[in-house]
Formats: sequence, C-alpha cells, structure tokens
Amino acid sequence: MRQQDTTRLEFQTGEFSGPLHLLLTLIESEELPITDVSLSQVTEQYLAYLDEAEVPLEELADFLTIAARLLYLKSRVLLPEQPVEADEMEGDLALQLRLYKHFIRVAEHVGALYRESPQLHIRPKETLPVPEMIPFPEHVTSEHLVEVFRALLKSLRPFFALREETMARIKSVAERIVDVRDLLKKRAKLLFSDLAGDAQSKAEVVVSFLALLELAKQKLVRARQLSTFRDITIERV
Amino acid sequence: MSFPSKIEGILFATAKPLSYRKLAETLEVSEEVVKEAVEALKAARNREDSGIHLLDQNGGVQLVTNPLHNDLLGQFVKVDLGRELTRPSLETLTIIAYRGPLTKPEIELIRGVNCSLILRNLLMRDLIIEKMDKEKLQPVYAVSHTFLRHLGLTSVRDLPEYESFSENDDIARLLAGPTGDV
Repeated sequence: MRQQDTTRLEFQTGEFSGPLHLLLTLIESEELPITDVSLSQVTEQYLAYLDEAEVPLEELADFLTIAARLLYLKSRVLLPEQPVEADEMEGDLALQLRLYKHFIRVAEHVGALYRESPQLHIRPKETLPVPEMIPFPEHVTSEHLVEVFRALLKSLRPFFALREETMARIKSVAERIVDVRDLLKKRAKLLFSDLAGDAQSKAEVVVSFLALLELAKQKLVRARQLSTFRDITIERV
Repeated sequence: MSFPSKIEGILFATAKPLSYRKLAETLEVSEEVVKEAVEALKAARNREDSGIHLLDQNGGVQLVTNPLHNDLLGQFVKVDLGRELTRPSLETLTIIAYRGPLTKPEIELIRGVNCSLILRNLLMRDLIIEKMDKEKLQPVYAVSHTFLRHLGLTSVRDLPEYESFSENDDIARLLAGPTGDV
C-alpha cells in the first residue's frame, strides 16, 4: 500500500513551508498518528520528495537534517535491540511535529484575523509642516480676551446711543400726534406756528411736522398751505 | 486630576507607542505605578462603549480606536490592507505571537527550518520587532503594535487559545531540550 502511495503522492515544488510541513502532510495523508513508528513509515515518501522536488538551497540543510533523523528513527524501529548511545542526537521528532501541528492550526485563526478582522486605527502623525509664519502670541491669557471684548463693547457704545436717540424721537412724534389731536378737540382750526412756535430746537419743529404729516396721512386733519413758506393751516376733518 | 488621566493625555498628544519606562521617567514615578495606572486605563477604556482603546504590547502602550468602529472610520482614514501573508510568514508570526519574545534558534526549532529571510522580511514590514535580550545575549523577536492593530487586538492575550499555548509544557520542554539540531 505504501508503495502505491509513494507514486501517487505528487507534490509541487515549494508547496511546503518547511520539512515539518512536508512530514506532517505525509503523516496526515496516511491518516497515521504522530508516533515514532508512523514517522519511520513515511521515511521513504519523504526521501522520494527530496529526490524530485527542488528544495530551495537555504532550506536544503533543514530538509536533510529531518531526513537523517527519520532514517535514524527507522533504523531504531527496525532494530529495536541496538544500543541507545546516540539518544541525545535523536531529539523528540514526534513531539516537535505534534507541537508544529498545533501551531499551524492556530496559525489558521491568526491568518483569518489578519485577513478579516477590523483594524485598530491610530491617530496619524501630522504630515503637513505647521506654518512658521503664524506664531501663537506669547503670554496670552483669558484676561486678555476679556479686555479685548470690553474694548469692543466700548467702541459699540455710540451706535447704541444713536439707536436710543431714534427711539426718543419716535416716541416724541407719537406724543406730538396726541398733542395736536388734543388741541384740535379744543379748537377747530390752528396754525403750524402754534405748534412749532415755542420749539427749543430744529428737531422739535421736525417732530411737529412729522406728527402733522402722520395725521394728514391718517385723514384725521386737513393741512393747507396757500403758498411756499406761508404758515400751514390745520383743520379737524 | 487622576494619575491615569495624565498617561492618557500624554498618549493622545504624542500619538505613538510609549514605553512604561519612558512614562515612568517623565512622570517621575516607578514603572510599577505606571503599570497600575495603565491597567486602570485599560479597564476603563477597553470596552464596547469607549471609542478609544489601549493597545499594550512589548512593554509599551498606545491609543487605538475601537475595532467596532472600523467600517465607520474607513470613511475618514486610509485603511492599510497590507499584503497577504505567505504561509511561512504566518507560521512564524503565529509562533512569535504566542511564545514571544523568542530567539531565532527557538523559532527555528519549532518550525524546523531556517527563518532568517522571513524574520528580515517581517521586520521590514514592521510586523515584528527585534530587541536585545540581556540574559540570552542575542536578539529576541516579538510581534509589533502594527501586527496586533492589524488583527484588531489590544493584547496578544486576546489571541484564540492564548493561555494553552503560552504556558504549554511540551513547548517549554522542546525549547529547553538539549537538541540544538534542527
């Protein structure tokens, strides 16, 4: 049966990752347990492979070492009576092969992890050079930021003041409208000079005029000016 | 301010693996104190509901993302798929991952074949690291942070069946045995 196997087993060059891999494949193809006896039984196939395959030169010595150990084992099995002087030279090939078998079994798990497992990423190092032209200002603290913000608020103050003034004016237009209506309740007719005559400022005259325009627009009064720069007559509608 | 949070801050700012020794020097405490703090950080961070995890390997730690966020992060960062591992590379990496740090002769004893070329290749790909062992007086090899990140693991202890391999008596016997002849 072994003779047949010797011819049937055809391996390609470089198929094995080492002599132990070859040996394990031979043992397993014969479905033998890993013992000294079964190792001696595959010695011929092992040697046959070495004859035919082109073992890489850097590994040839390793393949030959195993071959020598196999031949020695075989001789021990065939001649069990021989003195065991060279025992320490033998090593424990069966143990070594069993351990190797364990390792290549877990190597399959490791290979699967390598191919399929999600990876762990790391924070990449900055590859772009940090521009040197923008140095971060020295001695900047949060207090500086507060100062800058205060200064900014201060520069905005005139703008807020302007808005308050506008508010005041709008308010006074509304008030003036009420004034004019009150006056017209008492008198059916009055002159613009009655409204603006005691004005303290141009603004007040403008406010009175705006009030008049608003009332006219709402058709609450009728305003008439006979000619340019003449006084305006205001009548209740 | 808690002590572990200082370490977390340093790891975030430096964005690279830092050794316990370096952290101990910087913070002016013993390495033991650093290790304790790292354990506390790991307990707080290496959970499903934390976006940041701690990777701990070769006496150094660094901040990494939660593996659950891999797909999402792929939209923001470039995912380096790397090249396929050849069978010899995978065998060698597995042995180093489960039993490292190991010397080259120890790796070769388990694999039964010369590993010089493969080790050099794995070093170039940053999948393993090489450091001098002061007792063995020769270089030893361990898997790198890059390799573990590729596996999505924050520690070799999370490898399948890690305990049974890292503490396997037969392997210890093989490595300690008189047989130097591979």
